[in-house]
Amino acid sequence: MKEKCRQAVSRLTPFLDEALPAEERAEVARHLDACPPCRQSAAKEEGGKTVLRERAAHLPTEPLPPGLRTRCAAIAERARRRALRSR
Amino acid sequence: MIRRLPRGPSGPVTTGADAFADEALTLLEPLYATALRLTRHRADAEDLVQDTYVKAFRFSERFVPGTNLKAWLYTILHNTWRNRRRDTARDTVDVDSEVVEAAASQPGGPEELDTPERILLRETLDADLQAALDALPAAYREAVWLRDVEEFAYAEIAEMLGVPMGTVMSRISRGRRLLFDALSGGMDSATGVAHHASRVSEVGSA
Repeated sequence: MKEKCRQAVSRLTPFLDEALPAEERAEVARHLDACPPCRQSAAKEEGGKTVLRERAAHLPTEPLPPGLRTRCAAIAERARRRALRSR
Repeated sequence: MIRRLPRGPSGPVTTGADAFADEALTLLEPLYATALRLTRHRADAEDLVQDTYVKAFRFSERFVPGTNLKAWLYTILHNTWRNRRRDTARDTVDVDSEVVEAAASQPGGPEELDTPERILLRETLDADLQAALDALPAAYREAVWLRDVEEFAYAEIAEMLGVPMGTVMSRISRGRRLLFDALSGGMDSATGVAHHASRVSEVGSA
């Protein structure tokens, strides 16, 4: 992989997340315009990102095991009593 | 970073602690989901969550009010998980992580894919997405999930995973591309490797 490609690929994530300073962003954009393989990497990354962001909410979530909330609340309560005692 | 809550007879300690406890308990569902993602076993996930709460309440004075409690709890949960894994390191397989890295960083094939995300969105079934996520190496899955689903900042993820920010970004990048490869037809070589390496404890940290 060419050095320029390596540099561009290492900044793909903040580039796609719009987290790069304007100058660096323009630099990566210019490279992508000129380099089909890197453009393809960017397209793949964007594809994976988009699917996950749009679809994750549809994935089934496992219900909390019975009793877990009660047990965690008890942990909180014990901590509260300890704090009161130590005052 | 350590800030003590003010102490006094009128009871700001109790108020602060109660607010902390209330908010911490509202985060039980996402914490359990994260624990499940990491452990892949219900009983282990439950254990991990309880451990996390025990530690969180024991060290609650270290939490800086006004900062992100969810990120703070996630950090405790991930640290606890890493420590456990270290304790059971004999169970993990030594995997050639370079193979994973190389497979993940390959540019795509010769054909140009136009609007890949649109094709994927149209054609991806929830079950496929779940399977593709499950097949990702754990380090990539977690980085991608924390960024794209939980929407944490890179710096917060770096803190949770105990790796530099550059590593976080490269894991996100590779994770997203592996996900794309897995969903866009085909269990190609990259995801084959990913599947194989799903028990890697550390990939690409440097």
